[in-house]
Amino acid sequence: MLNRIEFSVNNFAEDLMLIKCKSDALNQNPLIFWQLSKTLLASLSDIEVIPGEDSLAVKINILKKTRVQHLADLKNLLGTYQPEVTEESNKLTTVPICYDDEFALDMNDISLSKGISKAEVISAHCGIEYQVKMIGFTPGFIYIGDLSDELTLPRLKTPRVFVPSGSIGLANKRTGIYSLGGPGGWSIIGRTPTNFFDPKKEDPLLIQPGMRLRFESITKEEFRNMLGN
Amino acid sequence: MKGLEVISSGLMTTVQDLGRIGWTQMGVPVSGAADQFSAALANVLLGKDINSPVLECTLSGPKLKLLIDQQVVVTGARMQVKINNKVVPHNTVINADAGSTIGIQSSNCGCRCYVAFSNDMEVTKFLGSVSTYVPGKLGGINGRALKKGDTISFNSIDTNLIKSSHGALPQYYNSWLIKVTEGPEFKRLSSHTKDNIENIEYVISNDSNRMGIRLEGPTLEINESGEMISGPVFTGTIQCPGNGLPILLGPDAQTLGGYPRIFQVAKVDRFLIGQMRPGDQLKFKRIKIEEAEKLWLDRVLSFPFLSKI
Repeated sequence: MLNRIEFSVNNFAEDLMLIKCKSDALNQNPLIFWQLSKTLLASLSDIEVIPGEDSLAVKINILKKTRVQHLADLKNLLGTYQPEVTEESNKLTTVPICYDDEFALDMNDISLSKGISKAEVISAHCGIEYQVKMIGFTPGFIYIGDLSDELTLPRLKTPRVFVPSGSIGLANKRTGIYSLGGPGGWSIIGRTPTNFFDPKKEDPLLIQPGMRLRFESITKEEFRNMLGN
Repeated sequence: MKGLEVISSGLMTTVQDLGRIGWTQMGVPVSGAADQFSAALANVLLGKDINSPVLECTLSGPKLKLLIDQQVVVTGARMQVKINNKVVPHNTVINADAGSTIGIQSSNCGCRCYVAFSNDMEVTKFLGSVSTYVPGKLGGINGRALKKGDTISFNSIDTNLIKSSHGALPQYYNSWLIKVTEGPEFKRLSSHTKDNIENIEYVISNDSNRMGIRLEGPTLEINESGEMISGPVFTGTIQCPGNGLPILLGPDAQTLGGYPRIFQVAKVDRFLIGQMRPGDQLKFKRIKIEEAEKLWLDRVLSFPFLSKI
C-alpha cells in the first residue's frame, strides 16, 4: 500500500486546471500522472485530460458546472485517490537508431557542448536500458529516460520549424522519438526507421509509459533496408 | 453518391469538424476547424449538427464543381465566393444546382473560410472525427489537403432548416488584440516584461500553420534556469522559448511542451487564432481568469450553439 499523495490543483485557464504533486511522491512512482489520467477519465464526465510526467491538465466544461465547483470536485476526488502499485514491465522494446551525420543534425553541437567525442556520445546513449516515461506531444512521440549526466542538454533556444519523422532527440534527462515530422526543440542525435504510430493498425500506439526500452546502433545501410521493408 | 469534384485545390483546403475529442492523453491533438465558431455557424445556418464536416479554405480558396443539387453556406474570412461566376453572400444559405461551380477567391483580411453543404461529406473518420491532421495523415481525404481531381461523395441527410437568430458576427482586421490570462510559467517573465507586454506589437510570422503561430517582435526576458519537464499545452497556449519570441499554439497543437507557458488565450478569443494571417499585427490584453470565464458565458448567451463546443 502506498501513501496517500498530496496533490495541488490550480487554475491554468478559465477552462483548464493543472494538478501537481510533491517531488518525493513522483520519485516513488514516476507514473502517477499517467495512472491518474485513467482514473479521472473513468470518474468524471465531460473532461479531457493531458498527463505529463510531473503534472496533469484537466479541461473542464464551465457551462455545466462553474469553475469553482469543478475545482472542488477535483480536490475531493484527489483527496481519496489511491495510486496503483506499479509493476515492472517485462516487455523490453529495442529501437534501432542510426547515428550517421545525415540524421544526427545536432551531433556536432552535442559533442562540443558536452566536451566528449561523437563515439562517446553514442556509447552514452546506446545500449542502456531506459524506461518509457510518458507519451504525448504528437502521436507516437515517446519520452524516454533517464539520460546520463553526460548527455543532458537544455532545449534549443529556437525550436526547428521541421524535424523529420523518426528523429531521436535529447532534452534534459529525456531522449525522445519524433514519430511524426514537425516542429521540435530537442537536439537531434539520430534517426530510427521504426514507425511507432501507424493509424492503419488496430492499436496505433504500441508504446505505453512504464515499458522498458533500449536503443541499438545501426548503419546507414541497415537503416535504408529497414525503411524499405 | 459522388457529390463534388475539385477543379483547383486552393492553398490548403482540408475537411474539418470540431475535433478529435478525448484522445489528448494519448498524444493525439484535437485538430478540427481552426475557427470553430465559423465552422459551427456554417452548419447551424444549414440546420445541421454543429460537428458536421466542413471544408476549411486557407488564404486562397478552391474551385469546386457540384455533381448534385446542394444547399451551401460559406462563413469565416471574407473570401469572395462565386457560384457560376456570380458573387454570393457569406453566412447565407445558397441553393446550388448540380453542375454549378463554386469559386472561392483570396482575401486580404482573415485567414480561413468554411464551406458547409446540406448533405454530409463521406470522408475518413479516425478516433471519432473526420478532422484532417496532415502531420499524422489522419482524417479527411486520406489525411491530406484536397488536390485537383479529388472527388468527394456525400450521404444525403435530413436537415432541419430553421431561421436561427444570433448576435453580431465577428469582424476580421489585420491587427488583433487578443485577451490572455496568466499561464503556469508566467512568473518566469522578468518584471520589466510583465509590465510592458501589453505594449508590444507583434507580427505574425510566415512560419505559422495549424500547429502554431510564431510571433516576431521585441524579445521577452524570460528566466530559463531550472529544468522544465514537458507539461500539458492546449490550443491557445502561448509558449516562450529561450529566444524570447512567443509561439501561440493552434488547433493542431502538440499535447505536451517543454517551453514556459506564459499565457493562455481566453476561450472567447481562441477562434480568432484561426483567422490570423502572416503579416498581421497582434497585441496581448491581459485579463483575469474570472473575467475570461464571464466573457465565455456571455458569448454563449449570444450564440447558444456554442454551448456544444
